[in-house]
Amino acid sequence: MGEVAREVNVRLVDLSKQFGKIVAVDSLSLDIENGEFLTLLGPSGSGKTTTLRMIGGFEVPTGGEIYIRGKIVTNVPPNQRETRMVFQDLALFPHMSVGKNVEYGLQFTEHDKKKRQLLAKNVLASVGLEGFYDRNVNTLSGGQRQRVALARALVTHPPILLLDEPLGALDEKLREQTQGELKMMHRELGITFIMVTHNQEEALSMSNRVAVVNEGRLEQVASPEDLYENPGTTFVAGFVGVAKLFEGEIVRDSADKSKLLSNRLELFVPSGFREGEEVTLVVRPERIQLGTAAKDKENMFEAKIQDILYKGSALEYGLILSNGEKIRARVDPKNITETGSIGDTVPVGWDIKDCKVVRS
Amino acid sequence: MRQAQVRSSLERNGLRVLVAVAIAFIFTPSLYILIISFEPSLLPRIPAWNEISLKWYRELFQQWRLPGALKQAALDASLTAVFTGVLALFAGLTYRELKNKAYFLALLTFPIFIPGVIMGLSLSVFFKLLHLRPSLWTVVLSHTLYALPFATIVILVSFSSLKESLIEASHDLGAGKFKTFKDVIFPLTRNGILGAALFGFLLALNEFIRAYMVSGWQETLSIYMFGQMKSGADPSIYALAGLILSISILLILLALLYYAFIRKRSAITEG
Repeated sequence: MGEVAREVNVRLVDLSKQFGKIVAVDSLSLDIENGEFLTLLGPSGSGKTTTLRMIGGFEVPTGGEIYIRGKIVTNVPPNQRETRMVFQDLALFPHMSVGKNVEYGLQFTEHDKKKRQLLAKNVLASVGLEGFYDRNVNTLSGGQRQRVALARALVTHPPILLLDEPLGALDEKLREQTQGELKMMHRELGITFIMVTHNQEEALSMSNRVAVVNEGRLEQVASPEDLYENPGTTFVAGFVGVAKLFEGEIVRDSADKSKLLSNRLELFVPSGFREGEEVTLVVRPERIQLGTAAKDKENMFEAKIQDILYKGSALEYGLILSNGEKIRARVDPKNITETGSIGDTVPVGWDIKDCKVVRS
Repeated sequence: MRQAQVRSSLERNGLRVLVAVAIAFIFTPSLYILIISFEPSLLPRIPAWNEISLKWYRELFQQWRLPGALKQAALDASLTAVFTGVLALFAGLTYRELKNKAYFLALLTFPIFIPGVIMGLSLSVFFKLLHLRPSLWTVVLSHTLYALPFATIVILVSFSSLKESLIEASHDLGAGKFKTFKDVIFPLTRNGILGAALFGFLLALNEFIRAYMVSGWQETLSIYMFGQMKSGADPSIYALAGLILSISILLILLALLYYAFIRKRSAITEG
């Protein structure tokens, strides 16, 4: 299958940032393609925001290079970069009206006052804020302020838009709505979006690709499906989506399967591992079966039901295995015949094909 | 709703009395001086209703060199205000960029702890070492040094409410350092800068000890008053005090009216 060579818009080469003794970003290399929606996903302190800020020019790297559209920009100040950022606190100028805020970036390229006003009003209309030109920014709601910040960044038609936790301050309902709007905006504009978030659900639903970052290092960069189905590292397996991880050692390898010993449990995994190798078995709650459905699975154990949560479209069970470890299973209530009660000991199980193994 | 009922009415009235007493304690001496300034005789006493006169106020302008001294004081205070305002502004801008903020702050506020007489004396010696003749400029420099700690604190408070992200946003949108200052930093810290300059103005005006040590033939208003007080009670001095007090009260009233006007205007234009 032929692959179209995508143009690389932003290239990070061995990017590092140290604050005194603290290493925030550690030799991070990443290629971001023209027109893609890429999210930097990671826990607090993982270096994702620092990386975004370095792309925008607000932090100077202590190591490595940044290329934007082929040109090296590592030490170029933000006012000379083609990137535009929507800040986490939005950073709207409180002493200027909505219109003046949006026009701010235009004054360097468009010198006709009337034209600037027209452009500003147009972009405000495109984010759903028609008629807001003269409004005081301090009187707007959180959602409206965010749109102003977006309008301000987009009015100069930047090739790259940086978003720092854009959905963080929004409530649940608004968050979902804004997720959809941002995705649509990305499709319509066709420019590169680089977003930072710690919310993996957000990252998975909005992005073309997700770059998982932890402790300043890039763990894995892949499409949301790839990341979820084929986690490359233990961290990604545990961070992206919910999963049960069994860390242990391969004790026997045969033609069709290998045996993993993890905390006194014997688990079966796909073959192809050396004896003594340390690996982690990753299994998602929705792949775990309960009761009679579990009886013929390649991995089957007896577990005691600790709690049952009703989650609308699914039942979530919390169980304890014989070695004391906890495990969660997610079951479609339509597919099970007996629901079981708290305290019951039931079989839980999954096939080898339902889990993944990650080398530690 | 509940907070209003926490204090009993006895407590509230008691507090009101306390505040009234405190205000009276602070203002009574000044008001007393103002009242006796209208007494035409040489005795400092409260004038009778039919004897109230502006005699000593006229004396101020006719016999004494008040206009000249006032001019010197105003010049000194204005120049100090400008120097203080500008230096404090730079201090505010620099503070944000520094890693060792605490040392910088300590350096700038250190002069507060030096007793006035010692400061004046050492400045006098310092200027002599530099072969700088005592003049209006040495006075202004000394006053600026004195006012700078207070002005710095005012500026830092003002600057602390300026979010760093606003400056970054301005840069992100294409503005250089000067444009960012003009369009973002200055409008938002203007009050702080004015406050710093005002501190310079007021402290210079009131400050006398340092000026006494380093000034040459230029007398400022406060030295003049001090001289008068020591040499004997010429009632013109009460008129002078009354004049200063009246102008101060007038200015405060004007400022209050101005703010009331501003608040009313912004309340109308809000959303």
